[in-house]
Amino acid sequence: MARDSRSRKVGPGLVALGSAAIVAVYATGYIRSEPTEAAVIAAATEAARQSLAQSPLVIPSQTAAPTQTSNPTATTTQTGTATARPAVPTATSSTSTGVQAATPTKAPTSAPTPAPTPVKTATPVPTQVVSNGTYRDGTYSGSGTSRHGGIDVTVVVNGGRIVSAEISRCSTRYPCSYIEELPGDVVANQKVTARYISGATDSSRAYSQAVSAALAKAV
Amino acid sequence: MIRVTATTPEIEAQFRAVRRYLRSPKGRLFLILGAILGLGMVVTGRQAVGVTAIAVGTSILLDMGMWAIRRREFVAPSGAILTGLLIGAVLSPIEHWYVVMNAAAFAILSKHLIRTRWSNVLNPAACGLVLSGLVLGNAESWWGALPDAGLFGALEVLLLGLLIVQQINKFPLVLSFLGTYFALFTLATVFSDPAVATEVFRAPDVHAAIFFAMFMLDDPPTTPVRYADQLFFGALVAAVSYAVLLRFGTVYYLSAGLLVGNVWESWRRYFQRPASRSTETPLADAA
Repeated sequence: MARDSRSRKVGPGLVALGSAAIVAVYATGYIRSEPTEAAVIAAATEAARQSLAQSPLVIPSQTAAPTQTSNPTATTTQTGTATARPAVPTATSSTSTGVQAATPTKAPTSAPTPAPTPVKTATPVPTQVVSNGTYRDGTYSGSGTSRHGGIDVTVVVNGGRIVSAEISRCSTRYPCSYIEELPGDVVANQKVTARYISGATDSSRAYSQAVSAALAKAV
Repeated sequence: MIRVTATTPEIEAQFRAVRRYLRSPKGRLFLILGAILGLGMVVTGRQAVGVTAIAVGTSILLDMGMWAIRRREFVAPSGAILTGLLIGAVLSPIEHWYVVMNAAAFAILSKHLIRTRWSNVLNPAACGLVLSGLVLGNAESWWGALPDAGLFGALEVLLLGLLIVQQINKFPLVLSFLGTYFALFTLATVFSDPAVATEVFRAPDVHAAIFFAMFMLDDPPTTPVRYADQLFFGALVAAVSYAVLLRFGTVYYLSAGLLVGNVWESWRRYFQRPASRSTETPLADAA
């Protein structure tokens, strides 16, 4: 047998037959998993659309210092997993930043801020500090998922500005070091960015979902 | 003029040696990997060049050093180049340089340190990727499998890979692996949550599986020759890869499966076929 294996090679007919069988098995698995894949893509698309819809469109740095806050140091930590579809106003326009498979209507970036933000109120808020920025001060958590695993983030808002958007838990198959620059992007842009890291697209998307979910609690 | 005449035979001899090398399985693998990775670098970007250069450079230097220690002589690092190319093709282009160097170093050290009298026990590239993944938690993007090129990329890897598989006579091994691998995950979609196996049937995982089967799985020094053994080996690697992915969810599940297969093959050679121990095969020091 060993000598046969060394001297003779598998005939093309057998190779073709084996290859056909593999293709058939692969096609079956692909078709079987297609609904799941479609659901994952739909969820990601919806999350991306909502993240664009609820992104603050007036950067708080343009506003004055948070003099309206009654207690600038008080923060509220909201723990627990955020839902994938945060209840946010949908009447706002999106930025012109594109997202894969997302179909938000492109609009100028100078659109109004989300509606339910009670800014510049003199009424003391006992647990959450409201500043004159877009977001309410506090510490918020959110979760995002991908087919490679999930990501949790903790977003800290102070003075109406996002001061950090760190990854608090990373359970993706790929290391979160690949998207380590995204928290800086969020802080720099003061909104969820739709920039996906090449080679870590799903992780980037999960991160964006998580930040969106967290920020949805801050508006 | 005199010097040119005097050196012509040497040049011709070197030319013949290079031609012999390029016609050998190692040489053909080098050419094919070069072609695939060249396209991959175009598709992926210049970062892919960097990670490949680091992996190949580290492999060459360490391999030459290890040969110098072991044999006190210069040995052309042809196998180390292949190891470096494979590691560079698997690791993400944005991976940190020290992670790439570590993976390459683990690979070369395993080739020289974990070996029998006849050949290395473990596939060097797979060993480097697994050890690096365990120690440093590196990621694998398999950009060299051309996932960004879609169906065209998969077909190119498949067709060029078949040239190698045909030359080294490993069709049963490759078909057994791919058949078992996709069959197990297809069964998973039928009898359990389809989400478990969704990504396996799509890029980049399906590209990775093809690339792995064509260029890593069938490394002659660490794989069986007999067809029956090849069939078992391929099925074993697929089953272990499947179990590792479902149990641990690690990115290096394919390489981990291969290492288990390598250990089994080494054990089989030791205890089941003591009379048929032979010298190194044509790709004995290949990755």
